[in-house]
Amino acid sequence: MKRFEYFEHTADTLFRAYGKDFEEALGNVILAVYNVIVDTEQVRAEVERSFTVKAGKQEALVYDLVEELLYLLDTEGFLCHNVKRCSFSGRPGAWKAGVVLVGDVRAERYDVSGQVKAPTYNQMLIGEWDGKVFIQAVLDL
Amino acid sequence: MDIKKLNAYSYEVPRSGDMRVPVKIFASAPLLEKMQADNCVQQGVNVATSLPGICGASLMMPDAHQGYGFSIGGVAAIDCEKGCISPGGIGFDINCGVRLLATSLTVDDVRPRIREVLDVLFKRVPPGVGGQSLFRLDDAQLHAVLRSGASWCVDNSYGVQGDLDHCEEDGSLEGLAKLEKVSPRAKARGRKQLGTLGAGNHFLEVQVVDEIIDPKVAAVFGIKEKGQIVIMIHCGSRGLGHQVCSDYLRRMENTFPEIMASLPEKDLIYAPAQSDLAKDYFGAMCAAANFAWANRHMIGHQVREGLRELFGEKTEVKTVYDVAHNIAKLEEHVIDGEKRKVWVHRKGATRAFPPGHPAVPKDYQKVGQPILIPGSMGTSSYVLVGTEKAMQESFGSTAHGAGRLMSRKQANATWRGEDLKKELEEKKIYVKAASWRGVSEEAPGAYKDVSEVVKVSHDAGIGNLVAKVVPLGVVKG
Repeated sequence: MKRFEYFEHTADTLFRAYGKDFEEALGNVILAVYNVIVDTEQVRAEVERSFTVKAGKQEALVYDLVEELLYLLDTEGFLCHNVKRCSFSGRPGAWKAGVVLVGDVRAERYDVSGQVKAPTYNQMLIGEWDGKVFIQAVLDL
Repeated sequence: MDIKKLNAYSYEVPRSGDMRVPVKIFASAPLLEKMQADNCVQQGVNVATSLPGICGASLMMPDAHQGYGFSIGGVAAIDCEKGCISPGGIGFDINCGVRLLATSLTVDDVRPRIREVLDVLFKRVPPGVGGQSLFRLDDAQLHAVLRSGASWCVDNSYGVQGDLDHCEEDGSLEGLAKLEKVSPRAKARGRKQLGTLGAGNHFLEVQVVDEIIDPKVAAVFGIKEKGQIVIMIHCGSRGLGHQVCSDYLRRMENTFPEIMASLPEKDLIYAPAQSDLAKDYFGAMCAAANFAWANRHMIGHQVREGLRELFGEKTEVKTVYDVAHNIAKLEEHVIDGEKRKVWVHRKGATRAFPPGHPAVPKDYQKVGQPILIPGSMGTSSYVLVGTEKAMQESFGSTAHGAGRLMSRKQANATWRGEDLKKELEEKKIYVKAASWRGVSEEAPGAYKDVSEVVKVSHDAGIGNLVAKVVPLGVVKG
């Protein structure tokens, strides 16, 4: 199964991440975002970073999760190689995601290009199609 | 959608249904056709419909293209007492803008040493994602920057008073900026980024004056002759500004769920003008704007030092001007014959104030405010000047750039960074980039023709042409 793909958007990037369930799709959102910035395959698996995000709505959870990735990049130079764990739990009004990433904090080692400024709610959709869960949104570049 | 032609350079979507005001589009027929290829005109209608207190018209500048919530190239003047403020109408990169430096160097001085010049600038102005500042700020210094903007830099011997005199708002919204409303996360993201370019469409370009269209005004701006070297800097408030925008979008979403539910696009979320959240956001946005002015000021300082290192201490490097093109400003405009205070949201639009306006620097009072419109990498950029007509027609605003035509994905599939670099070198334009992908994404062919954009601005009278500059060398993230 394709983990994520990008679609045409004039100024920014529209991504769609897939999974057998929301949890897996959420993990693939992380890879979709990082692959705008760098080829994650090239990033060395040297350090781990973990965080938790909580939000009342699933859309807001996706937004906050993406923002956390950008925070790690700006403050530590952290680039992701892979998602070691991405758990999703909760109920409407109180959703939670716990994330453990493996990657590198030496961004200067890689061809780092796409600057993701922020997540947006633009064209954000969470749904099911063909037996898969998908999460899509536009990233502000 | 009903789009009526008003004249050769403007169109209107008349008010209908729930629209509070009409949409006015500054465009030629070819530019309108490009705008209609994406969703941006509908976004102009959404702004006209959704934002309480919007005055006159929802405006779209000649370079408008699809954004999120607002279009890029969108302008909205919103009553600051009965209306609202919308972070999406400013953008994530608060006070993204352009600074132009005029030098005493000529093309003959620089062209033979352009690679050396780019090497020095690349070293002094860290570009790219994760490019870290050469200036480390402690808490007190960061707070001082957020409070005072570019003034902090001059107080600490970076740059000169003339840089501040030739900057929108003198490089500081001190008094309006509320640093205590900027979150610790935003401060953490900005701490290592003062004096850095970032990536994406941000650049530092060594340019040569190619054509002087209005010699009288150009001379006042310090643009003296064809062949003169100028430096253009395009960047913003980096992660700090992005986080401020995100923080307040989420807070507004949580505080005003009923407003959120009523909007056609969530990124149009706003805070009613009288709410504490509107005041807090405006204070935080002003602090982020200060950070951006300090950022471009520090880059300008580094450029000056770098050029003097190469060409001698007597090399003159003077700031022509510095404009914000992602910001909301508290301004007074005549609307329906009455002076009103409004928050003018400019998202991808440049202020274009006329001669005699008190906000125009003393040196430029007789001619008007300089407007800086960069083209795409490897193409021309333009200097224009603000006009009285812009005050009447566009709340003192005009375009901000070429405007994208093609997605980054498509650009990456069409060009290879290395090939593009070679092609540009054949035209004697040198590129030094932190990333090849950054080069291909910003290929000149991925943008609209900036010459058409500035022609519409000039013909519509909302920003008059002064000079055309072309690149010799580009530093990119």
